[in-house]
Amino acid sequence: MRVLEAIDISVRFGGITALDGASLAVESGGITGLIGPNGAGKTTMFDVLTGLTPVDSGRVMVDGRNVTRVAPHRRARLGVARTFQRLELFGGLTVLENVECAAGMALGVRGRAAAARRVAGPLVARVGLGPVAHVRAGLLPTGQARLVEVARALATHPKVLLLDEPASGQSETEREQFARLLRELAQDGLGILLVEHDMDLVMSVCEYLVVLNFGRVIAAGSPADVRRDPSVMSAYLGSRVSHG
Amino acid sequence: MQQFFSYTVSGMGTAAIYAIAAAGLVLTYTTTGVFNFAHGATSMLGAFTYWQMRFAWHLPAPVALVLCLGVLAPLFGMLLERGVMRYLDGTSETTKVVTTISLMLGLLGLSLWIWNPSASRPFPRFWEGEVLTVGGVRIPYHVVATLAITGFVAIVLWLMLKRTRFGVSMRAVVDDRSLVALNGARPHVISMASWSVGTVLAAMAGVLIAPSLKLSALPLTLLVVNAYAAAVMGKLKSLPLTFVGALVLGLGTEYLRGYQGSLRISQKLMPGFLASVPVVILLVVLVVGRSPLRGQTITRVRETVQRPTWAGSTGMGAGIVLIAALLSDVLPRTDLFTLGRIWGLGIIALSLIPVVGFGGHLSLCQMSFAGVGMVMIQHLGGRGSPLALIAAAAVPAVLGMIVAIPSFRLSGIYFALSTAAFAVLMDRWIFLLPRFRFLGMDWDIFNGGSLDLRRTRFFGLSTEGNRAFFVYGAVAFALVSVAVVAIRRSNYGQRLIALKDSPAACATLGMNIKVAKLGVFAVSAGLAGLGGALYGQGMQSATTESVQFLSSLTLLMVMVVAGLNSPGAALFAGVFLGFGLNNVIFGKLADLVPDRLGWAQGFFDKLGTNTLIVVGLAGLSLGRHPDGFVATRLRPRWDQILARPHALLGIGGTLGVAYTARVAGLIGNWPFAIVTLVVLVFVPRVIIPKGPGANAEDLSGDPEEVMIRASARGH
Repeated sequence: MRVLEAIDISVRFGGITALDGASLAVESGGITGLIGPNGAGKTTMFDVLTGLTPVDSGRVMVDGRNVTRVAPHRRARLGVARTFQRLELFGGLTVLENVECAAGMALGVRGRAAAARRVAGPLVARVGLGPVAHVRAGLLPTGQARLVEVARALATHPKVLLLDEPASGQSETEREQFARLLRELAQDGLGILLVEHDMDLVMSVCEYLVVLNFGRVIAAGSPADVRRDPSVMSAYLGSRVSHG
Repeated sequence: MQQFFSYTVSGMGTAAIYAIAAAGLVLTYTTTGVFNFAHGATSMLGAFTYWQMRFAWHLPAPVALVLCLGVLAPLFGMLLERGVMRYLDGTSETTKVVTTISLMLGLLGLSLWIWNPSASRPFPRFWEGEVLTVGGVRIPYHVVATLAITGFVAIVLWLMLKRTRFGVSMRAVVDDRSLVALNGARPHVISMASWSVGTVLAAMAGVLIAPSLKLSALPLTLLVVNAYAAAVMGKLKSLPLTFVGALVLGLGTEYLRGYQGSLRISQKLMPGFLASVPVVILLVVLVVGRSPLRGQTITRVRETVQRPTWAGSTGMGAGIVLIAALLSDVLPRTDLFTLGRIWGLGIIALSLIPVVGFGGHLSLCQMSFAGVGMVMIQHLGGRGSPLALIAAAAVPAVLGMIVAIPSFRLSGIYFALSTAAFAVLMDRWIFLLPRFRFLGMDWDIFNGGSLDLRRTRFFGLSTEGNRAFFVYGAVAFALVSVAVVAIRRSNYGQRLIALKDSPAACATLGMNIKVAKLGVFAVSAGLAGLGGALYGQGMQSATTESVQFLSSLTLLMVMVVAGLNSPGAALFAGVFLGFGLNNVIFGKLADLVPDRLGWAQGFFDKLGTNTLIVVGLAGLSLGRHPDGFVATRLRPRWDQILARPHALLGIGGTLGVAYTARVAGLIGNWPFAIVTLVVLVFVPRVIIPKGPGANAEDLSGDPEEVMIRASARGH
């Protein structure tokens, strides 16, 4: 079932076209990878899907419902959650408080501290942050900070989770644990959209890939198909080379 | 037609002065990123300095002008940069704003110190009485000169910024300081130059406007609020647009003043409104301006919002009530009357904690809400009805939500400016309105300028007496401080802090940001109104002066210096401002100084009566303790003391002995106060010599955090 869908999205900032008729879909219980060179429009796509950036044309659907004009916090309550590439932690709160706070937001006005605490504790342990639960989030190294973002997003009971470069800053072992966590979450029925530069991680967990370049979808399909696609090779490898 | 020309000429004269002031503001903001709230105070200081040289020392005008604008003003600007502003590099917008506010208070205090405010100082215009007649319109030479100077300033600024290498690097500095340094320019030299040019412009505006405002410190200092509107029309970066803004402001005010007779508005409403036109324009520009103005988000990297414990906060509340009850027994009635106001002020200070401390919204109008609370007591609390207290909280709460609306699209310095505009609007217009008829009812909001406030009766229990009121105030303060702690510990409080740290994350996690902002302002304004009610009841009569914009700034400053997140800091603010702690401490010091050191006695006496300068100086050191001294110095030590029963017992025992001695008449009030102070503040220092704040690197004693910090640095 398609839990999240972007149809023919275009976004322009002044004279620059960030997204140019791009479409993608996320299935419940599936992990879709969104890849492309720097500046391809991946983070803009996340901002469009979560409602932080308005579209110039196109539609965003959640569970088959058109949410293009729906405010970010309402989309969150419909089950869309995300993490940020440029970390957006609540640095003044502890790790546990970050997750409690998010759980409380999802519970809405009736959010009670006790209910939020019941949700938060196990989640912090699940992403492996148990030992640092009471540390101020602003003091964590990047790898752990990204896990806080994941736990915080999960605390809102999402149907679809958008992860923006969650593994950068993580060590090799942390990445393996993280891949395992992603597969578990998908098995529980969560739809996941993953933006990641670590190709090993992308190839090992994603069932479906969408490749963006200059705001357009240049290829889509299984990892094996995409890997063989010549246009992807040129876009991707070209960019790799130029970035040294 | 002739009338129109004469309004146009005088309007342009005002506009020219606004333009000079606003240009200085914009120049320092664009090149250093600091929005200088002290710009008006600098103008004021310039005008006073010129007056001193020209009319007290009788120097010829050209010599005085060259000394004042050509030598002293640039030197003062350089001193500011070297001594204060340089250390603001890389700090958050809040710290910058608060530092310039403290500079403003300090300069205001300095001028009150040097120039006795009650003396009259005639300040004639340049070429007084001489006029140029053009087509029947008489233009004073002063105005001609003002216009010529403004034209000259505009041309010089334009040439400097666009045509010199120095100007180019000046514009580059604001974008990236370190990059400019890598390219061979020296950012400090450039900021220093920009601060001296800004100071010269401020002083110039002060000298030119002083004749029409009378030489009085406060109005001259607040002149800059008018210039804010012009600067904001220039989006704080474009000088040409700023000049256009100044023109709109000057002409608009003058035409309205000239043609008010032909408007069908009650004449009673007009005088205050005319004075408020610049701030109304500022509000309109901020609220309906085309693009949303986003300052930097207000976060202080070094700030910590610790989660207070229930035991600690209820313990503190109970302790306050107990101490107040004991004190009410030993203090003379007259002191109890003076002390009665500390609780109201303390509650207003507490009201800053949710909105500024947790929420990070810089509210500069808390005393205006307090004033509305007082007004409610005046009109509804005639027979001491407790219902008036509810109104005193509810009406400001609604006003608070209105004030919060600009925060949907403004942030940082722009939002702070909109709250300043609201406060000045209340000061200049609403609180000063005379009795008028509206909707078939008579309205006399501030009771003709002085409120007469009855204390509340609770079900037959009167708080009319000074003893009863003192204890009742302590209970109210304790309850509100526990409520503030409850907010911090609740999910709602977490959300407020979360919103300060990352609005984007909050929105995508399902938080309705608008509702959250409305909510925190309603809570905080409601508390401020309640505090205002108690403050007014403590004083029993209140004037508009006690609730003006400047008082909001002073209270905020004391709170920031003491620690924005702790109820203990609010108690300190209440005692400091309500009891005149300053006066007491320095007054006593002056008494202790031997008579032959007359100058030292005079010095301490002056310090004692000049709260502004003490607050200002304390605020300038903010960079070192961004969390405030209560949170970084006192509380951590007390947390450790509470964990050591023998120390607690010793402290309690000593206090008990001292109190018994006082009640038995063995010692007087002063020895008792000194013993109490030593035991509460200095003994913890001796017992725990190295407070957790002793090591600058280590934000808290928690070894785990230290380890994490170390590993974070390693990555």
